[in-house]
Amino acid sequence: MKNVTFRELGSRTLSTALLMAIPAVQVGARTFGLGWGVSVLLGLLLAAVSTGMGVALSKSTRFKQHVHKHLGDLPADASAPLTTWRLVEGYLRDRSLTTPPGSTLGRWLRMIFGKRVYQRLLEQHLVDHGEEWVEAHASGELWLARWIRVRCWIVVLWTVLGALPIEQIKALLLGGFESKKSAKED
Amino acid sequence: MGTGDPTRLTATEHAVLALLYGLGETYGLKLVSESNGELRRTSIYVLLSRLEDRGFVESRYQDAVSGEQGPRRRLYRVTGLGQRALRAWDAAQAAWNAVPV
Repeated sequence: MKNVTFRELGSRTLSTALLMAIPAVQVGARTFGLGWGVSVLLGLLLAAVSTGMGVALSKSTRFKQHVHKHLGDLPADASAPLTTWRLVEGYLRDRSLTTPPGSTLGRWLRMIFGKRVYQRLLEQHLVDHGEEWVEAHASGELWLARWIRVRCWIVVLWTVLGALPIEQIKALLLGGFESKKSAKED
Repeated sequence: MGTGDPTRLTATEHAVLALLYGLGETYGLKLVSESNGELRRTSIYVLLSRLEDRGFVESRYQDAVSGEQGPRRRLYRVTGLGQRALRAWDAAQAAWNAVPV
C-alpha cells in the first residue's frame, strides 16, 4: 500500500469540534437542565473526543486503504487539485492530502448565510487565512499552519457573533440557561 | 451612529476610510496590518461592508490568475463620496479643535 497521509486532520477536527461545542452546551442546558459549568465541560469533552477520533482515524490502516482505493490510480502529482486554490511549489508532498482552511467551513457558510452576507463579511476571512496558511506551509511552519486553520474558524465565528444583534447572541449562547432560570422563577 | 446623517462617521470608520485613501486600492487584511493594531481582523469586513452600503467605499474581485481555484480577494477603494466625507470629517475635527476651551 502506498503511503497516504491526511495531513492536519487533528487541527481540522478541532476546528469543527469548536463549533460543535456551542450546540452541545445548548443541548446540555436545554434538554438535560445541566448547569453552565457542566455544559461547557461537556462541550470541551466533545471537542476533545472528536479531535482524538480524527487523529486516530488519520492513522488507521482502514482509512488509508479507503483513501488509497479512491485515489490510488491518480498520477503522483494529482494530490494538488484535491487540495488547494493557491499552489506553492514544493509544499505538498505527493499523495499527502490536505485542504486549505475554510474549504469545509466555506461550504457550511454558503448553506447557512445568503450570498450577500457570505461574500461581503465571511468569504474574505477564508481567503486571508488560506493565503496565510499557504505561506506558513511554504516556510515549513507546520504548527503555525495548524493554528491558522483553527483561528480561521474562531475569526469567522467571532465575526458572525459580532454582526448579530446582542439579543440574538444572548439567545444563541445563553438561551438554555435563561429559559432554565425563568422556569425556576416561575 | 445616526442613520439620518449619511456623512457621519465613527472614529473607527474614519480610520478605515483614511487608511484606505492613503493606501489606494487594497484588501481588508492589508488595512488591518497597516493600522498598527487600531483595526481588528474580526471587524474589518463588517466596517467595510457598512461603508460600502453608504457609498463611501466600492469593491471588486481581484482578477483571476490562471490555475488558481477557490474564492478570490476583494479589493476596496474609496469613492468620491467617501473622499468628501473624509474631508468633511477632518474639517469638522479641525474646527472642533480650534474652539477655545
